[in-house]
Formats: sequence, structure tokens, C-alpha cells
Amino acid sequence: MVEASGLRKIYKSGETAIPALNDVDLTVKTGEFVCVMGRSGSGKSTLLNVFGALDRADQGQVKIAGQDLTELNDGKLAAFRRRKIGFIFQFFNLMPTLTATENVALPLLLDGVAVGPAQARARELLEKFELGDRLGHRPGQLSGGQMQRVAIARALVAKPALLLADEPTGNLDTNMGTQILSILKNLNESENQTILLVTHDPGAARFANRLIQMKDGRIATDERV
Amino acid sequence: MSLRVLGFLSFRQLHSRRVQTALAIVGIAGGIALHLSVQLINKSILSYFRQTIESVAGQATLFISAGEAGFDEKSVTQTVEKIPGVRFAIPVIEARAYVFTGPKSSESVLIMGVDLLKEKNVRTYKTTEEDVIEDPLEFFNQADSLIIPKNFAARLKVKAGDKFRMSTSMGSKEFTVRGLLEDSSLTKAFGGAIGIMDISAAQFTFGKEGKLDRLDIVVDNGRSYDEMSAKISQALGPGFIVERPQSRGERTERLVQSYQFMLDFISSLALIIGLILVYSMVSRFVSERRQEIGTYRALGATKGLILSGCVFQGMLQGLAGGLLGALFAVGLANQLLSFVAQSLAQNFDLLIEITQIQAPWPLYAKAVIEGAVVAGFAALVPAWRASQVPPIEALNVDPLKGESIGQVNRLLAAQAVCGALLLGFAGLALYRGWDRAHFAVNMTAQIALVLGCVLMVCCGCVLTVRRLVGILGWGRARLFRLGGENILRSPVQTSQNGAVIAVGLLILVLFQGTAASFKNSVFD
Repeated sequence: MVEASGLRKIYKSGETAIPALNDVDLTVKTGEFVCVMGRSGSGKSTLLNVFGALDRADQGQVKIAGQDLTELNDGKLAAFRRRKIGFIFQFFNLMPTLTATENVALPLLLDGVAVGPAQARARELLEKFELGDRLGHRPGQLSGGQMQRVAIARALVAKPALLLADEPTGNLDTNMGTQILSILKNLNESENQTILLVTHDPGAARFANRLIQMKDGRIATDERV
Repeated sequence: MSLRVLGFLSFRQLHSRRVQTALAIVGIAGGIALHLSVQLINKSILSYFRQTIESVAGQATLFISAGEAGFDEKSVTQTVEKIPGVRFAIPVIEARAYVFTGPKSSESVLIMGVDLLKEKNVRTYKTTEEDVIEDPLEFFNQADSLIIPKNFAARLKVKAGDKFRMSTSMGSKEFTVRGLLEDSSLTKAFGGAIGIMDISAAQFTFGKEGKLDRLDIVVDNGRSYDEMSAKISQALGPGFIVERPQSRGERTERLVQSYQFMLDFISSLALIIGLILVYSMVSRFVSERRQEIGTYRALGATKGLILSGCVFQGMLQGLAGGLLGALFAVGLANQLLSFVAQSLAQNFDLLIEITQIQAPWPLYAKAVIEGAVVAGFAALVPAWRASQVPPIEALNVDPLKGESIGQVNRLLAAQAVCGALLLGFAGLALYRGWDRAHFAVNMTAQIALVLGCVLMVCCGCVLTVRRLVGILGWGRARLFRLGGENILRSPVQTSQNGAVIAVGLLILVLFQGTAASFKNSVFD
């Protein structure tokens, strides 16, 4: 599913160059639930951004679902994100002007799917995540846990090959965080969904089946759990 | 993505910022209403001129005149009547009189002295009764005899046999109403303020004995107007103007066209206010919602989609503003009509009695489209900035981060340089008189002047507030400092608000300045 080799990414701050990724090689198979951990500045978020086609590596090659991302131009990367990648953000990143249904349907709408079928698929997912009574609610009318479930539904609506989660529990209480991680675990097990989770939360590791520790832009440890 | 989805997302964005959206729509509506109303007035006035000329000309195909002094009746008429192809030569005296309709108001009246026996060959008069003139002998014998339209008589509150006074070039004179005319195209000309006299009486009353102001010519069927015009000119020699009635209309139109163009230009400046409001709103959206835009990008929205979405939002506001403005335009035009008509009448010494606005639908459609295009254009630059937001901004935890000092300084410097260049060009054009030589240079100089002022105001607003914040640091002045610092948090917004006020004032000054300069140039 994911094949990355020789990834390098350097951020410049004035005269100083900060290596965020330093010669990273990584392969993730379909159906794996990978948890990436590390201190702030270790490069885990940069890795997620590169895999999610949000950012480009300075060097190296990334293949997601057989597609070499370095070959794609800006427009094709956008199409790739729409169809192959699902994002779950720490701050949910729901559109405040749209209802839960509309938020979930958004990736399909952006991909040219008609409003009717897109919203039908969105409702189906929201009901699956026990949000059937919140279909017409706007993000401001939902709790943190509900918002994150809407965000998960949005990430899944286009049936992505890879689900990327950036600190999905970082803005939730422990109880709610556990619920969200359980949903992800369930998705991985029941639907063979490939998931890459970036987190600071040591408790999250027990939901994954592979744990990667990053340090100074490199993979320090990579182990099965 | 379909237009429907784009519209849906744009509508939701606009709905979430209802107050700002409403403000931008009202701004555009005001601009469109003013611009369209001036266009409606201009159209109505031009149409009025054409109708009036056609009504006064009747069947006449050529006019002969010789300026204010007129020409000798007998010799010229005889010469013209002898030219082969001239069917009728109808003598006309034209004079202006003023009737007092109130203690401080007067109405301009066109007096036409005509030979009633020959008149039937060019103009027809519908009368209220079979015999419009109760006593024809008295009509021809008395020099104060006048026939006026029924509607004009009603306005003056007079009836057949009544007397009323009018101010003429020969002093105040008393006239007697000898007959009333039914409504026709002729009596509707000049708003009905027209009086028909016997030609001899008119010559006597207005001190034009033995003279004519005009000969109305009807040529034989099949004769070319150009050929006849050349023949008549040749026969009469220099000093005479031989022209088609339409040419006279076109001459008047040309005379007032520059004035109308100025009004049109100034009214179009009102659109700039709407433009700035939409620009400001979309700019603010881009600054405040970078994370949201980044999220759209992260979810797969292309740069093109973000760009078109923002422009579409602007166009939706423009469309709404255009529709609203078009609704108000007729009312505004009716309010401004008498002002413009009076101004034209005074400045160009024309007789304009126009009471009704012509409202052709293509002008409305054009105005609505203009609203959408102007707003779309206004949204273009911030929309482009929005499209450049990278998808990684979705992860930005500080989306409200404003412009850096460096960015603001660069923006101010760019505004100041562009403003100075534009003002420099405008100043040079005015100083060297290029603007008088070429119409296009004149317009470019005026646009440069307006844009230069706007840019300098934008820059000046921020610099002034910044300077004031530096000075106000003690006692109660600290409160003002706090306010100033708050304003400086969004310097782009501050400069845009300043620009809106500047353009508003500019429109006011230009409207008054234009009227004054036209008046002066006419007097010069």
C-alpha cells in the first residue's frame, strides 16, 4: 500500500536548515494499522503530510496504492487526495457552514458526484457511526466526539485506500479518545482498512498492529504489537 | 464539480457571513442603482430630443436656417421656391418665452410662428373642436393671439379667451388664448410647453419683422435629400445651414453627449464602492479562513476550484446587488431626472420638459450583468490568493495569524508607488493639456486620478493610524491608542474602508465639479 524510500525533507528557518525527514524508508502493507509516535519535531507529522500528498519530499520516492506521488502535478495530486486518501485531523476540520451530512458528502461533491447520491452515502455512514439523529446539525451543535465521528465518516466516504489520522484523540477526553480509536480498530479489522495514525498518546499503540517510533527525522524503532 | 454544487457551497459561505454579505450587496446595489439611473436618464433625454425634433419637423425633410439673426423672408422664400424639386417651403419663426407658474418658478415655452394656411403641408394640428379658433379674424388681427395645447392650458389654469403674461426677449408681454389643441406628438414635445402664433404676429411680437428663423422644406417624391440640400445651398450661398431634421437632433445630441458621458463616468465610480466591499469581504474570508481553505484543498479541491468558488461567491453578491440596484434605479432616475434636465437646460440653453423615464429592459439586464461582472472581478485577486493556500494549511493551528509587518509594509509601499505614478500621470496630462487633445487620454487621466487617490488614501489611512498610535501613549489618549492598535490588526481592512469613504466623497465632488465646469465652459 505504501512504499517510501530515501525520503528527505528539510525546513529552512532563516539560515538554519532543520531536517524533518532524514533518509526514511518505509513500507506499509494493505490492511495494516500503523501507529507512528515520537516527540514533537521528530518528523512524524511531516511523514503523514508526505504520505497524504499534502506536502512533497525534497528527495526520495513515495508510492501509495501503486501511484508514484513524485510524478503527479498539483491538479493530479488533488484528485489523488480526493479518491485515495482519507484524512482525520486533530481539530476535526469540519466546515462550520455545512451540516454533518454535507460535511461527510463533501469529498464526493468535490469529485463531481451528484448531491443526491453523495448525501445518501453520507447518511449511510453517519448512521453507521450512530449519528443518525445529528444529520442536519452543524459542527457547532455537536460534541467533540460527535465531530470526530463525522470527520471519520468524511474520511471514509470516498472509500480511500489509505486512512491518515493526525492526533485524532488530541482534542478529546480519554473516554471519547478510546471510543474513536475503537472505531478505527474496528474499521481496520472488519473492512481491512489501511490506517496510519500519528499520535503522542502511548495508549493508542495498543489499538494498532504496528508501532513506529521516530526520532530526529529517522525511524528509530519499527515493531509489531 | 457541477455549477449546482459550486453554487450550493458558495451560498452556504455567504449565508454564514450574512451581515458582510448584505453590506456588499447593498454597496453594489447602490452603485448599480446610481449608474443605471443615470443611463436611464441619458437614454430618456436622447429619446426625448429625437421625438421632439421629429414632432417639430412634421413632414419637412430639410430645414434652412441662418443662425440667431435669421434671414430675409421674401428673398429667401422666393429663391427656394424656384428650385426644381422643392414642393413646399414653409416659413417658421421660433422664439423662447417664459411663463411664471409660481412665485419663484417659471416654465420655458417654445413659440412657433407659422403660416397656418401653409402649415397643413407639414404639420397637422388636432383641435378640441371642429373650429379651433372661434374667431379667425380676431386671431389673425390681434398680435397677442396664441393657440396652446390643452394640457398646457390646464397647467396654466387658463381657457380659450383668457389672457396670461409671458417674459420674452422683447420684455413682458400679454397673450390671449384663442384656441386649444388636443394631445398629439407635436403638443407633447417640450412637455406641451408650446405655443402656436400666426407668423406675422410672431414677427411683430418678437421684433423679427420681415425675417424668418427657419424654412421647412418638403421635397418632391423621389428626390434625393443630399442632392436637394446641395442645390439649395448653392442657390442661397454662404451663411445658410441646410440640414435634415435628424442632423439638428444629432447636433443637439453631440452637444449634450459629453455632459452625459461625464455623468455616466462619475456614476460608474459608484460601482467602485461595491467593488471594494466585495474585494474586502473575499480578502477577509481568505485571511481568516486559511485553515478552512486548506482543508478544502486537503480533501481534494483543486486550485482552480478554489479560485472559481471565490469568484462565484463574488458574482452571486454582484447578481443580488445588481437585481436590487435595478429595482431602485427607476425610482432614483425619477428623482434625478428633473435635476439633470434642469442642469442641461441651463448649461446648454435647451428647452427640456421631460417627465417620464424610458426603461428598456436590455439596460436592466446589462446592469445586472455589470453587477455580477464587477463583483466577480473584485473577487479575482483575493480568489487567486485563496487558490494559492497550500493543503498543508489544514493543519495550521494558528489560522487567524494576520499579515506580518513586512507584508504590510510591502503592501503600503506598493500602494504608495502605484498611487504616485497614477497621480503623476494624471497631473502631467492635465498640466500639459493632453486631456484636451484626446478624448481617450482625458478618460485615462481621470481614471488614473481616481485610482491614484484611492491608493493613496488606502496607504495614508494605515500610516496615519500607525503614527497616531505612536503618539497617543498617555492618560485617556491610551483608549484611542487601543482603538488604533485594534484597527492596525487588520491594516488591509482599514485601508479598504478608507478607500470606500474616499470614493464616496470623490463621486460627490465630481458630480458638483462637473456641473460647475460645464456651466463655466458654456459661459466662457
